[in-house]
Amino acid sequence: GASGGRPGAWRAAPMAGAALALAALVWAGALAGGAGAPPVHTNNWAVLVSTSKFWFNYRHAANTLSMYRTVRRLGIPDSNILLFLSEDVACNPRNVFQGQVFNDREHGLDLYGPEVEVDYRGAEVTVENFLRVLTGRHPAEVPQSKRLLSGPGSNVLVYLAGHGGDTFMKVQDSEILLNTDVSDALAQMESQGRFRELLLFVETCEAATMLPREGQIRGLLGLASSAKGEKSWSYQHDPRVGVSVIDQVTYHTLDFLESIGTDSRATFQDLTRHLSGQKLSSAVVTSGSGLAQKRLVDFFGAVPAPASVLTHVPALPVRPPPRPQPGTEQEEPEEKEGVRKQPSSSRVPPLAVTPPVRLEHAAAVALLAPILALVLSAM
Amino acid sequence: MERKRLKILFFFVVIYCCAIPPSLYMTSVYRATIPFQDIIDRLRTRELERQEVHVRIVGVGEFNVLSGMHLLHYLHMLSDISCANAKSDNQAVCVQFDVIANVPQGVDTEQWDRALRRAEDVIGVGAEREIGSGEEARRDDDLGRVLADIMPSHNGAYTIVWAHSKHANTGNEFAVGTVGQYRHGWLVSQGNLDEEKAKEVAVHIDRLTSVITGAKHMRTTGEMVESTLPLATAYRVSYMLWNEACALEWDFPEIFEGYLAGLFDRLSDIADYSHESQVLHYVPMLQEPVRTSDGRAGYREEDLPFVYPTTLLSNDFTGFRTTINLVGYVPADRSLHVLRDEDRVARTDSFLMPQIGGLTFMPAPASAAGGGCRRAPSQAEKAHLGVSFLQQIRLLHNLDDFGENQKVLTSGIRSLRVIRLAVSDVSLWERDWLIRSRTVEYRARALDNIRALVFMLAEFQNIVIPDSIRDDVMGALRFLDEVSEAVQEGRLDDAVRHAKWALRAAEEANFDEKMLSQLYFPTEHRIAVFVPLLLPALFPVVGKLFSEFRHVRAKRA
Repeated sequence: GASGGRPGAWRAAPMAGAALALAALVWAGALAGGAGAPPVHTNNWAVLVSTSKFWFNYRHAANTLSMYRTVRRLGIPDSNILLFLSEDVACNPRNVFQGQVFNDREHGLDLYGPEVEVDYRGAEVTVENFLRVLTGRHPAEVPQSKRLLSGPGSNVLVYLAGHGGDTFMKVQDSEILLNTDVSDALAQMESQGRFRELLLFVETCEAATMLPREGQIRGLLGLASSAKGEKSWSYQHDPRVGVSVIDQVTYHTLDFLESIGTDSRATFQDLTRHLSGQKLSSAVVTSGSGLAQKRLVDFFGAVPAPASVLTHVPALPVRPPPRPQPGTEQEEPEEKEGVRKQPSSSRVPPLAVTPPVRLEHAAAVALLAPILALVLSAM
Repeated sequence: MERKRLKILFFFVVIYCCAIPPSLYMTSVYRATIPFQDIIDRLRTRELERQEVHVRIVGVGEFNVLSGMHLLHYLHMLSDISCANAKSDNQAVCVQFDVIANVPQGVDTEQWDRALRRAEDVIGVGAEREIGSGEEARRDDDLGRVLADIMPSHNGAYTIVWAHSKHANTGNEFAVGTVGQYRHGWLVSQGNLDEEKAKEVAVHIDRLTSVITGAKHMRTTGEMVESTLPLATAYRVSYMLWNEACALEWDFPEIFEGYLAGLFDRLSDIADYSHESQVLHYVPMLQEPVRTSDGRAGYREEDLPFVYPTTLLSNDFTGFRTTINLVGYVPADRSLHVLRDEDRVARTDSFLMPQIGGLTFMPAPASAAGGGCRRAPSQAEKAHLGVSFLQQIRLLHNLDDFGENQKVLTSGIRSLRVIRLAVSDVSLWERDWLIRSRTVEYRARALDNIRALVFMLAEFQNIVIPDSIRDDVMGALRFLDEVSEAVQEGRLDDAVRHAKWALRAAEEANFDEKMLSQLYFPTEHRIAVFVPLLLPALFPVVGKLFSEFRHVRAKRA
């Protein structure tokens, strides 16, 4: 079980809130139909997460690093990849191959190297950070390299590898990521226009329980390594490393992806056909309308938007001497800590503020209560 | 002894009674008041009020009253069709034509006659014209100033000067319309002005109007007009000069002042722009160029997205500010071109990198004087960069690309060739169109953000709503009210400014770091935390209370 963090798996919204939410859903669904064709696919992003700590979960890090290598090979640049690694297996004292990570017994390919850019490592891999990345709600000091800067034209791949169960995943052995958390975050992403299509690929036990309900979120596609009630198994044990080095479904998926190039037309149907022909101990589950016909490189690769060559460049005369006003920069009001930026000609009147309860008041009550009790009991 | 026991017991009872309410109060969630239902009701109405655009037709030249009446008839018909279509297609712009046959009210007759003569002079009625020439541009500028003086136009009113001549030289194939840098255009027709001709002229006027007003580009129901640039209320424009070797420096302020300052001045209401520049040396392309049969080096159009190092391009997105990268690339020893086919060189060596900016291949520079490494750019090189950057900025903002300064609008009736006199970076009518489209986009995006936030806050009752979030949401709504008001009154500048501020406030609220629902304690968790703390201690107290009560009753009995 989890210790610390959020203990429960359910929340019961008050009746009024639930009714309001239902009304809002119906209304939002009706209005959302106003949008026409989906936006043009302009770029790709990948969020690759290994949630497991400890050496014996080597394979989860190897899963994620393998996926990282593959999406880079198929064209997604590092600037568009967010890599979460909970455990630094490469530099673990138990690793006989120090500084190296392998996903097969032959050790033919080192997944770790100086070109690997880990964005969230170790203790930074938390449920909160993961959800912040998805929803884009970061504190101001978070650098852009740690943000998912996707937009309405982005195809996003979210890959989760780790231990899981029915409707949850374990994170760092101290937290739990619930399927409701993931669904909420993805729904918010959809309403914020943060993706065109999103593929959620989960490699855990009972992975299918982490996928949102089909049709709940527009543009969401799902791929899970196991169904409800099933475990997801490792593929290969490495006697020299001493642990399993990769999981079955990830291994076979990447094996198939190795055979395609950046301009491949292979689809998810081809992938699932390939997976069904392998000796898997769990059933691969897919969800999402039209997933079978989607190209694999639409999510695992990158689509560079085509360049537009200018048809002409006008012959304009050079302007007269510079304008009287000095400087060319637009002046922005400085954004001070805690002060929200407002335009100078804003006519927003200040609203009455109800201050929250202050701690000093609470302490005063706590001190007065026993005194009051003594007085009353003496009467 | 008995009294002492009772006092101790009573002490603990009072402690609990005093402790529980403060505990519940201190752990209650602070939620600033937001009228969720009102907002949701309001968000149902997503359509922006339709804008009426008035186009005044001023006739000069050789035409009679009857042909004028025919023209008026057809223009009214087109106006009705335009507004009916605007309603059914949810377009934002409905065009109303006004044909001015007499001196406009409040204008001096002599001034008006002078204006008409100037118009004839500009248009060259009865004389040879050099279409699109610099002289024509100068005359158009004069005409625009005259019209602006005698018929001051606010946003939403345009003038089309129609000149008819039996002898004007408009070219053999197309009718010719011209647009300049102000809010006017002019159309020349020729030949026998019968009813059929009047109909043709009316259609051409309508088409010229659609160019000037951008009527076909607008949508109101939240269906966003696709911009080449990601939509943002602020942009950081990053100008970079990449040298393959170490050849060229640049005097960026001079290039900016010479070619770009005017453009950004005119766009300053639409978004906020900041500018920075840098020069990099020893930056090679990622691929070797291919050679044409005549020895020229270049890259195929389809390879362009892969040839430049994207790692050097900034994609800073902090604070809702999108970066536009404008790059000038200076090759070391041979000029680079964009190749259409194996052997065909494209007309320009400048291309857009969609979503992030543009890149221009500069001609290979001559070496620096004295054999040194770096030198200042020549006037021609500065001009090359300046106009390339200007054109790229225009295209990134979806301003119409008049290829070779003209475009041809075809239809069943004889085609219309529209010439844009390249006298300025962005014309006032182009700016108007950009303002209208951005107003719609900003407004729709602001509504989406408010809806998403309100939906989340209404569903999760335990999310803390600080006053700043409430202020942002209410502020955004107020700005949106002002957008509607400004649009109705034709104050486009105010409309786009308020729409920009509304979007900024809505995004700041929706993307606030505190609006992560998973950070908050659900109500039932409070009970789950405090009940195990308080309940076990309560059992002996309550039990003892009952025991004492029974004891007292027994004693009385």
